[in-house]
Amino acid sequence: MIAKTIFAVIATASFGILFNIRGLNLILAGINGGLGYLIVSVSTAGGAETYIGMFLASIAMTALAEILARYRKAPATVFLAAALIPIVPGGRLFNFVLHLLEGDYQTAAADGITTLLEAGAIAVGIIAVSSFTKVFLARIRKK
Amino acid sequence: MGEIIELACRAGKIIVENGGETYRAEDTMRYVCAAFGVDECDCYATPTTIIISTNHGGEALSRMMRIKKRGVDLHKVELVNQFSRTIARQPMDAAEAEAVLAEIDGAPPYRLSVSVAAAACGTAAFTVLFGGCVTHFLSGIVVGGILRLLLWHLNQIRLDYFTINLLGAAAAAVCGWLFSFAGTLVNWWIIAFAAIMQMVPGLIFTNAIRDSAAGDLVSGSSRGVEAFSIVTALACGAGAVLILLGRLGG
Repeated sequence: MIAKTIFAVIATASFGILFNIRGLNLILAGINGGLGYLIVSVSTAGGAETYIGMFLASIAMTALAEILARYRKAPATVFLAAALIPIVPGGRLFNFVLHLLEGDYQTAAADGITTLLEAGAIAVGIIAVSSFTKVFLARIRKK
Repeated sequence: MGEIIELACRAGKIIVENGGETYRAEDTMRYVCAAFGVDECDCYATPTTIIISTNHGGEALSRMMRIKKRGVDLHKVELVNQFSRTIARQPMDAAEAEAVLAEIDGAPPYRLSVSVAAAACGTAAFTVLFGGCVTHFLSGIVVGGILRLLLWHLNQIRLDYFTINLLGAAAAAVCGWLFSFAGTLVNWWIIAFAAIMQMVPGLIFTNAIRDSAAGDLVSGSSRGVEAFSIVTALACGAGAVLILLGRLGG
């Protein structure tokens, strides 16, 4: 699990280069990707459904991205966009299409619904933390 | 006055063109206008258009820019963000600001060789995450690099994004098959999927969500549609090749 997390860090940082992220930000984005992958792995190993792990991971990653954004004076997207790639349900989506093309509609439907749940869980996690951060920061600025 | 809204509009354009969120573009335009003492200013940004309209001492002015290019360059977004921070704190004259923006717009991306190496490295790492073995890893290096080169060339000839993703995914599947000894390697599709990960619209998906959450529903839904059509293109391209090779007994 730890070894795979390191590979998730490498994968995120590599794809961060394709997004033209530079310097220390690239490494920080990579670490954020590793964090997300680790959370998904741990919660799945603990027997939780994958979408629960993804929800928790996206909350943690968005929170870290917002914190890093304040410290590094860079948009939060820099630390989030590439980092999400290791946990997005890309593999399952392909399985969905493959089963669909093969005419195995029952497996395809199950894959499709799970993909939607997982993508939805990630989205809700991001929205929850982003909105909370905005309100929280507005409070602080007022004081 | 005219040059100020031109400046603000350009700053917003750089952000939207390079994958920044809509509200960030609008905020930047507002900051730039405020820095030059233009108080009444309304901005509207979507992934394809930017509109800015100001009212200064009874004189109304507006400017619209159409956005044709859509890429990913988070470094430029970061630089424009810093620019709007700086200009809000210490005012500069319009010509100076113009020069800074031109410099940001011309900032070069990583060299092609670096991005090919990055794609190779990332693809290899993804084969491990998908549960591949050493052979998957080594083939992943080659296939990921080849796919990046191909994508770069397809972008050079200015194909539309749907076709690029369709062809890219199909090419990744063919390369994955070839570099797994014509599909004799167990689970050879891992290589193809790992290479395709570099085309997954992670940034567009993130922005679609962040835009929707911020209340920019037009931008949020149009980016959502963009992400969905890219994924469809990827799945069709890869799926078609996998089915074809499967029928051939690969």
